[in-house]
Amino acid sequence: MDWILEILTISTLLATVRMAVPIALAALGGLFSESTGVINIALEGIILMGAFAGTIITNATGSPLLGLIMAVVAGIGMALIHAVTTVTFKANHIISGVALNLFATGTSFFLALVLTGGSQIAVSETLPNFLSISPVIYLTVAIFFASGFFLYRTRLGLRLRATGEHMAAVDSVGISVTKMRYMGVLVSGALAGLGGGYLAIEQANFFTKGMSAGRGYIGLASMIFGNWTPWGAAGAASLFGFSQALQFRISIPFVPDEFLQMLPYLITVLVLVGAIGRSRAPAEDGNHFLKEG
Amino acid sequence: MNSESRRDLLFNVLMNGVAPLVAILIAFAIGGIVIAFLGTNPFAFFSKMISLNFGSMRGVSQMIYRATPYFFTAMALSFAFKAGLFNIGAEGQMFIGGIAIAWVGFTFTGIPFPILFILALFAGFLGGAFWGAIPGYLLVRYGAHEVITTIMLNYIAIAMVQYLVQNHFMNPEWGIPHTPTVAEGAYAPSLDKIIPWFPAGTRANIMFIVVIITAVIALLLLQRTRLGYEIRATGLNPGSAEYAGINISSRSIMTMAISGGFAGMATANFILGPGSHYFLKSEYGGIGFSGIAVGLLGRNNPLGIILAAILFGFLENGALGVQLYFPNVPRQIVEIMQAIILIILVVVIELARRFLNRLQKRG
Repeated sequence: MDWILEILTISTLLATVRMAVPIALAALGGLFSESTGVINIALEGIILMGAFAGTIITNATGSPLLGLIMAVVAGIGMALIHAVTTVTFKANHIISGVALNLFATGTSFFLALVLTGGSQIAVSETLPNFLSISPVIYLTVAIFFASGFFLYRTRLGLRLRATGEHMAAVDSVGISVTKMRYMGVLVSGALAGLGGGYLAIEQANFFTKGMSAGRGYIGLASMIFGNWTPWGAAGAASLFGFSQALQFRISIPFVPDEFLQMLPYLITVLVLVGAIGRSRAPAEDGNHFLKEG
Repeated sequence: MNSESRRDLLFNVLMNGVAPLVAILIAFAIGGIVIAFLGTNPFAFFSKMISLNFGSMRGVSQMIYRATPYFFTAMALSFAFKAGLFNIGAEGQMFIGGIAIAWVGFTFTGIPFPILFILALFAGFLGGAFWGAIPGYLLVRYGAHEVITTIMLNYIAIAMVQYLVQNHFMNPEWGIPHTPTVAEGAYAPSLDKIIPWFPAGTRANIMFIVVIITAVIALLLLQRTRLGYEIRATGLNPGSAEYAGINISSRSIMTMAISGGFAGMATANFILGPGSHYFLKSEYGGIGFSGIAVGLLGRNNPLGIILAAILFGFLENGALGVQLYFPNVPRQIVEIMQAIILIILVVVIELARRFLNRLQKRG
């Protein structure tokens, strides 16, 4: 019964937090985007591009800090494309997201081959740990506190959220719906990009093709399960972090590895099924703003 | 021709003809710039691709062989789209269907051709339909958004298929994990057995005929049957469809099942067609996701999808062949181009719509 004890150790707890960070950042990103009514399933591709850009820049400059900054920049760049297609050109949000995910998969793999000749790149430097965990983890906690305050206690935050609830009302008081939506989407790109940079530089210490492995989508599921609130999303992301931590730490007798592998995804489906009736999306989610006249 | 029908014609030509072509051209231009950056002449690169695909009947048949699976995964997206549903799960449905195809093929070895071939194909349809019906049911019963559930079911399907192959179907003496080979009764004959101007022993096989038959059936189903009408009505306006007495819940599950069934047949081209005759998971990755781009490029029309699938077959076959001549350009360049086609397409379509609106206001 050793595996039961293994679940309850400090190291499993730490692993849970480590695994949860990229998912939580993606969930918060999704929250910012959907606060303004733009569905962003491109988070998956943004994590991947953030991971790639972070790895390349860290290795090129020897500075993981610069790497993380570039991961954020790459995330914003991807999000900008999503904002242009969905907000300016009113493309279907899901289609634009799918297109960007395909783009990220192809581009990161292609550039990895061109720049290094292989599909896996080791990271040369990581940030110094503080109390045996990455400083990005502290940063993530701070970002969650700041976001909670920003979205519920500041004028701009309330305007962002109002855009997701009733675009025409926001427009009628002279606030630009387009500007609010661009802001929401770009912030989501920055957060998911940071999540990707953390994933490659701090957590895995390498980049490999397709390494986002569904974390963007799982982040969106966390956002839904967390009822579109920062703390709810963080809680749900921790649940997923825990299921991923288990996957790497234990081997339960008579349960094949493949079943542990599917656990995070299975839990996502169950969580979505369980979220019904308790959770409510912003009213304008996925809608386009069509000004009359 | 009155002005209204002229406007409809203009709408069709712009949206379904000009827009996809412009998107394709821009993607080639961007791909060409990237190739030039790598120090290769893009015109030499693309003309080599064209001659590899169209220079001989062997090239054409290789292109058709590569195009065939994309049609099925694209149909999965587009069919669900007609009912207003997003099936991003073609990848998983394709794997479940594939394992079902192989299982029927290597289990019922005594059954002759073409019965076993048809049974295997039908098993693929059922496997994919089962995997597609799950998110349909979860949507209708629990309101779980199909975009995320279909994607999650992709990962679950991949792990499950891997488990089945490694622990139940595989002989541990084989180096790579794959299923046993299917019986001869399940083989899909090469196209040259039916159409003499294809080269002997080509890998293009009668699955391409199945593609054409499937496209026709899908068109008839959507345009000429009550079910098709109800599916389209649900997609256009779920509220009025329900008011008109259509059972949206059962139609949604049914649509997702048929949609998944299309994806389930995608790997028959590889498993039953000329070649290894077994299910090899690593060979099929990505066809489900690319199908999304193929479906949208084909403007969700079965005949358009055949053309879009052939373009993707052209790109993939060309990329595989051109590597020998330009080894410094990784073949993943075509994956980037495929994604760019999709991104540009949505922008061009909106521009075309604005242009038409302006025209309508003026006239």
